[in-house]
Amino acid sequence: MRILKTFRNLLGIALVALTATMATPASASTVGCVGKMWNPLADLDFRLMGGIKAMGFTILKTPSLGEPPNHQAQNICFCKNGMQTGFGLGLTFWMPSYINDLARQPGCLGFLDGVNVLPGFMSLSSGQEYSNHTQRVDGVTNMQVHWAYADVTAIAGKSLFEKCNAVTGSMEIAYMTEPDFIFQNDVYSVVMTPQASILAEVPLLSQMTCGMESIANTLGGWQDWGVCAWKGTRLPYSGNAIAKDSAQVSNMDVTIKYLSRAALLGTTMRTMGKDTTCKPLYSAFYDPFQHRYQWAFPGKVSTRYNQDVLKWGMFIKDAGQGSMLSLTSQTAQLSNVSSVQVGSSTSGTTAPSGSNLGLAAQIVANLPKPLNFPSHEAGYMQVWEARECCLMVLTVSNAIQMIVENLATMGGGMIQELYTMYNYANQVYQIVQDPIGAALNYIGDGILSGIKTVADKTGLTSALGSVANGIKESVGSMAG
Amino acid sequence: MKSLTRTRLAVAAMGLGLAVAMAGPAQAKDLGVEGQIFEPIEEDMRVMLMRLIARVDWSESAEALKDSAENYTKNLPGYFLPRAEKTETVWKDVGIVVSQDIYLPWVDWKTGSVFEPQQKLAVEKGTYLNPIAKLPAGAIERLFLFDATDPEQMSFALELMKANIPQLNFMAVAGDVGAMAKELDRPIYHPTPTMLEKFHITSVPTLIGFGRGPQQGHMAITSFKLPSDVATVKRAWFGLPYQGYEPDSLPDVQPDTTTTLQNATDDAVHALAPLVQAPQPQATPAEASPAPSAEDQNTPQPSDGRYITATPNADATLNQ
Repeated sequence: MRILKTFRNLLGIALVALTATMATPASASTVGCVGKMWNPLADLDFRLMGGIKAMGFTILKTPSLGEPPNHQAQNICFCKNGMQTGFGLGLTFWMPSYINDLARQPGCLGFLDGVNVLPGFMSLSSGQEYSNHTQRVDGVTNMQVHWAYADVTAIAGKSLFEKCNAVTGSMEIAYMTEPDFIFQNDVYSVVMTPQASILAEVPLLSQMTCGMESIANTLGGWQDWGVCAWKGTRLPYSGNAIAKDSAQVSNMDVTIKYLSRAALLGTTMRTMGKDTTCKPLYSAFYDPFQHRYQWAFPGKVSTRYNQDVLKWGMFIKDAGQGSMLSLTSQTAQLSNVSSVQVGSSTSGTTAPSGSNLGLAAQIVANLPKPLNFPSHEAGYMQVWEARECCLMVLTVSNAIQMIVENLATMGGGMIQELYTMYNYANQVYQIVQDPIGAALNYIGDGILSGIKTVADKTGLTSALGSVANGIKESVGSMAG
Repeated sequence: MKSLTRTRLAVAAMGLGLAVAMAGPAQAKDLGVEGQIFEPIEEDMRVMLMRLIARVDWSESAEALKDSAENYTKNLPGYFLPRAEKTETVWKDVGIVVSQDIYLPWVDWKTGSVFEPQQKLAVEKGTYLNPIAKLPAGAIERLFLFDATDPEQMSFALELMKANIPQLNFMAVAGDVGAMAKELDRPIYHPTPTMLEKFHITSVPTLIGFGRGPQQGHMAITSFKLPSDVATVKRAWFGLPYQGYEPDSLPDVQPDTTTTLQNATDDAVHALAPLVQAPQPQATPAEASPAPSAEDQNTPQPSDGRYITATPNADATLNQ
């Protein structure tokens, strides 16, 4: 009886616990939406910070991904920026600037532990082929991109980068592709960027171009011919990728397409090249080498643009069919076959026959296959951006400060006179630079002075004074 | 005066000597190590950044990210377009005329290197390219744009949604598309910044359709004066009919079904035949400028070089 009572009590406790669990407010977690909570300390691969140079001299060694040849600042730089106009030293570095989350399930944010924030878009189908077919079967995969500003350095080490104006402190979602119909639909996308039809006009040439580009980059080159992604074409700028190799590669293809479109729309700026020493510039063409792509979930692997996944990914071992000996002998049989020739030729090489094509397919089938990694469901990466900066040494502002400090010993009257002269000069400079802003500031000054006079006469100096300052600031902000 | 000349000559001689000295071959020599060497005492920058990151409580940042994601659709910009004043179709040719020869990289496998590719002519200057010229117009999805903050337009959109017309998608130029999508359990899209301008959407509600026959490869942008109905939207599927254009009686173009090896080889011959010209200055694909097509010569062309064929003649405009 006592046992029964104990059992009943335990059952009661269990039921209460179960009810309490079920009564917990439902999290937005949805079936199939998986992920991991973003954690900069664990997610970031700090080796990718490497490649810091000041005036061309290396301060921190470049990681194995290499340093793009175009990532060069002017050694001695001059930047115009109002009173901060001046000379400085050119600095190049890398910053973990963004989170790029790729999701098969619309609205699913992998980097927030798998939470779905757009349940109304669930019917958008990814059509990711790997779930249904064997590898290397062509199919189209549609992935959703969630791009977030994650300015880790701005929060953690502001003093390190603020002199470069490289900190925004932003921590927010910048773009979600679900509500973007153009990104979902190839036809509308190609209408937006009709240059995509150039590739459709010469499909063979496009394919060969992209093959050559991939080889060059995998071998350590820095080739970007503007039309390729990892295993497909870069155009149209939609979320669709041909699913040939692995989810890993399709996700990179979609990332490149997304960023190329972002460059066209002006939301991704060009950050490499000597002309970007002072600030990033708009360019309709995305330079994919300005980013290092570092997967953080489900695993930590890093790559740069168009390196074959064999070089940076993970592998699964085939059951013996990938014998290099047989591959060598099979490849030798194709030595006299031209990959570009059609019809007969006098050059000694022949156009590929049906059996040649069969043999080529067999060789490809026997190559070791990359693992489908990251998973089908979701994955996110940290995107490191190449940055440049003119580390200011001498600005108009600090030059004036130095002069005033030196003159401080020369008597109050003279300083007052110099200060007045400086104010006049500064006013003229502002009017020339920004006439509307100067006019609004002038109006603001007038209101300020008027209110302060009233305040002094009525004895409400403090209250009206702050109102006056508020008005002045508001008028000033309208200008700028 | 004489001394000045002498000084000038001396300076010139020194300058010349210096130039000769500097022009000489550079001499590099290992001078060995002098004095004691110390290891740098500064902390590795990566370790320093890791230490700084470890000191921060990131839960607030993660919360900020989550908030911005949950409010993402609420914060999208609204585009307030005027209501359509008449029901009419405006046609737009989406093709481009290539303004320069376009080259793509090419490697001669016997002599070349993938690191130094040459250029091959891909598309000749003056070529008209239309990405949807060979697409069956009936197979392309349609997009209905409306202002969700206007009750009359919202109710018209709901009426269309209830009609459950296949291939019809909805885009709200203003209003929270996330909340709407959740309530209606279907995607409601939002325009990208340049889309309205590119597609010449100047009023709402509007349907984006695609033409057949003489209007094949053209986009039909049909605006609807309210009140309107489902039947009118269906009639505007291929653009509103006009004299000489009855889209319902026209067949769709047949999709290209080239599957045999022979056909593929023919395609290869066609594609590779022009690729024999000498390298020329490269023009990137995006330098192709949109321009009106040759086949639209019989329709009125805008004089400012735009590639829209904003053409409906009197018959093409249906006023209600």
